[in-house]
Amino acid sequence: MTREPVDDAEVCVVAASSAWPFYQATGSYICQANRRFRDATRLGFYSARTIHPLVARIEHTVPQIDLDDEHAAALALSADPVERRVGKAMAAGLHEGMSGTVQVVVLSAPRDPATETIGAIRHEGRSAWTVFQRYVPLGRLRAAELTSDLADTDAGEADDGGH
Amino acid sequence: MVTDQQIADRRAEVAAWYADARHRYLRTESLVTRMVRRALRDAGNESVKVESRVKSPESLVAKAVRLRDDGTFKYADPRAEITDLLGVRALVPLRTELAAMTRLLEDLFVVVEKSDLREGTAEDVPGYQSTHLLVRLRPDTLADLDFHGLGDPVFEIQARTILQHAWASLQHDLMYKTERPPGPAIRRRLIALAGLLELAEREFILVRHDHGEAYPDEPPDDAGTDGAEHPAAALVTQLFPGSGSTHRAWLDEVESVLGQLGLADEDAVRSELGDWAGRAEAVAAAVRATEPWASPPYLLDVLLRLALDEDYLARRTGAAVSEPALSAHRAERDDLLARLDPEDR
Repeated sequence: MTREPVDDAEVCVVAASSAWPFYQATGSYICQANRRFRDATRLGFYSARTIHPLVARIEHTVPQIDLDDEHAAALALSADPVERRVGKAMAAGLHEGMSGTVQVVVLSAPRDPATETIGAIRHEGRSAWTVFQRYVPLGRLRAAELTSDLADTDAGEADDGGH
Repeated sequence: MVTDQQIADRRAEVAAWYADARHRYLRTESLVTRMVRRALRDAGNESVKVESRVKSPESLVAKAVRLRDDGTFKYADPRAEITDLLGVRALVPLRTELAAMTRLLEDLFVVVEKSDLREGTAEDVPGYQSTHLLVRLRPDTLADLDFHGLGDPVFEIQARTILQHAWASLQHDLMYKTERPPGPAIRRRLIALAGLLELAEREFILVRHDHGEAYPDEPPDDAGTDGAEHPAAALVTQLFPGSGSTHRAWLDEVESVLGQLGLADEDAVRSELGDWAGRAEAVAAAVRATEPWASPPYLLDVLLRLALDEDYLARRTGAAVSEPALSAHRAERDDLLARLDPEDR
């Protein structure tokens, strides 16, 4: 089996105070509807002045869906495995008190071999490394110890805010 | 660069227009708030508080002559661009109720623009959270006699929770109504307060949820929550006692799953479950360890997946099952079995 050239993979690192524990619990990410991740094929998580050590592969995206019991139940009880994961993510989101129209991103689970493990990257700057999302090739994340090692990476805050 | 004369002209022009137009907004305010309150009451949602205001002439004129940094007017056409002449605010107790109320508002009006100013926009910085809808009246509403002569007003509706509103109000007063703007230390404390209130709201949600679990026999107070009368309700209550009330949507869906599996009644389900029926509570505990949201209908579906194993998918779809679907089914089943006590497997 050929391994994908993961070091070239574009990672969208999102600000994730609540999304990081949510990903660890559900293997998914819920955010505002129609948020764009450009060409990123992977998602990383930044919170508590750290880029966390798991970089998940984006498996499936539902750009816009009402987060309610009707949709969550229909999908979580679907015979289709991808729909089922979307529905389970939505049910978890509802349980966490999320609501409204959202985007659901199904990710490779934390223990899935498709999820890359890197060293945690600390941020020592005075302000947050990102309050929205930034793009970094996976290879650079793997080599970095501090966010200052990623100094010229692309802050996608202005372009990709979705609605 | 705008001259003093141009500012004076604009003040006079906007004031004259609004002296005539404001009464239409006042009438619209009265009709719209009544309409929203009635719709909420009809939907069984009487805990929503509806507030409204029509902009004062002084406030509108001050806004209409605001300048940009380059000295030009901020609003090229204030009559068209200032859309908060009428503002309505709907406050719900907790954010778990926001989606239903927002949907109701979206049905009631034509939405011109919707913005969710919520935590997802800056996820590691607590702060202002609210859903803003820019709306106009639906054509069938405008055709109503009461609404004749109002034109086609566009107005703003803000939907938020009581605690989100408390923070926004206090923060707004400090940021914009004091003589000097607050410095970084004060702003930092405001952000901390937003985080504190967000945590308080989460705790309220959990308290409400846990209270519901502790008193499953109390009549449900949510129109979408229904236990007793649904055909599948009795079965899931027997299999998973003490699980609290269940949203009707989950019961509807599991009923549909039972139909696809050809299980027409309780006896048929129990027969198919076999020994797994006796292990329902152990399975529920194992599932809820990682999926605390798991409702009894979802748990029944999990139990059927365990009992029927690979036949489950074939029977539901009535067709050959794809390898990825089968593989996902096996992985989920193996993962759950590994978490059960050996005697419950």
